[in-house]
Amino acid sequence: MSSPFPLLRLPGVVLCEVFKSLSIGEKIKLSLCSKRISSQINNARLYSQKVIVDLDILRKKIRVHSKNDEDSFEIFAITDSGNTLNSKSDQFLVTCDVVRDTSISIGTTFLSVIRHLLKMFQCKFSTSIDFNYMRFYQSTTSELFDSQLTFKTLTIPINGSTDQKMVFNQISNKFGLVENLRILFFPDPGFRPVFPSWPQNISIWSSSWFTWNIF
Amino acid sequence: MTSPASSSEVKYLIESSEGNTFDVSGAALRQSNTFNAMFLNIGADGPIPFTDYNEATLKKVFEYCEHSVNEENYSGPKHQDDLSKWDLNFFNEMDQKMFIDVINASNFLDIERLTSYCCERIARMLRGKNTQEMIKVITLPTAEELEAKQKVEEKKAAAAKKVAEKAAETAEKTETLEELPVQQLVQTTRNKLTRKYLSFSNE
Repeated sequence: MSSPFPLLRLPGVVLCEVFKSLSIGEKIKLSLCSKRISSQINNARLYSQKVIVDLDILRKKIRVHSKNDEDSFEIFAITDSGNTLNSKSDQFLVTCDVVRDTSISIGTTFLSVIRHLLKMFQCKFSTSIDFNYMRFYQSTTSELFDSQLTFKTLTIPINGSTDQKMVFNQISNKFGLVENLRILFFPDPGFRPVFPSWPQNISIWSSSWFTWNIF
Repeated sequence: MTSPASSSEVKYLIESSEGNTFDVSGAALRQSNTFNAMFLNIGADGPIPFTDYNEATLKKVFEYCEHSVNEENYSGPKHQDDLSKWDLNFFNEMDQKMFIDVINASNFLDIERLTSYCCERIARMLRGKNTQEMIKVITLPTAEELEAKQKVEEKKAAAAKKVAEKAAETAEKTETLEELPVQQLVQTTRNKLTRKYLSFSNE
């Protein structure tokens, strides 16, 4: 069978089975071949793998992997200067390495990549927020929370600055969407967190001053 | 023979799109969930019409079913590397058209094992390839190719139109008596008279 294979002429059920046989990376690469293939993959989303999407927002890297980590694929930003942060914009310029020279683009921002993945897979997210670069996280995390998407792990370090308090209070009412919340407190930040909604698991690190009374 | 299948000895008659019929054992047919749902308990009165598929395709599908009758019960998709020599030969001897026909028939007949192996075979074509290589493996015309194809077709259509116009022009010219040499003029007139005579005699 050396001539090109007419994949899209197969019945939908068969296509779905073919997609199931592909790894995470193969499916992402295939989704970039054409819009029609992409939409066929999206149609089969409910039968697709459940994946965990690790967002490394500072390094502009997205790692998509299975629960047991046997299957994984990385999407990373391509920058000319080598700088990972784009100081002129609040958006991260993320491009999938496989996107170049193909007929369909995954998008240029972190969120557009996430949206592309959300159409293909049943995703849970994992990320570690760095409050020093909060403006880079704000749009991404807010949109994910606003879309009621669930987080496998969310790590938040807190040192008590006004900005951090404000952001913490903004996202704390969505903690019900988080499976594992990790809070890393710096020595007495002078901040008493309020939990309007609770994650499934919570672990608080470096917090000898943090007692039951705070809850 | 077309009666409810209780033993593997029972044979069923299958009718293909060409109207041809052939025998398939009950044991082989029972691998088809579609058959099980439609005919297993009630039996079939006459040949079972699978007339959307040609004889060669159906024979190929049931050849697989006959072969896998004695294999252990199907338990989920198998990796291509686990396929037996017979299975590999079965797939290798098919051309692309036959392969697609077999997938479609297997999908309609709901033969899980065969459909699953076919899908694994297609997945294997894409495995380990980047997007550009995948595009080469599957039939996907790019925008440029579509544009180029359209241009070629337009050119062809224009050329065909020109040829047709030229032909019409030539025909018109040959019909003009003044331009014909004497011998040809005699011949043309004779032909015309013959045609006229024939049309009169027909009336």
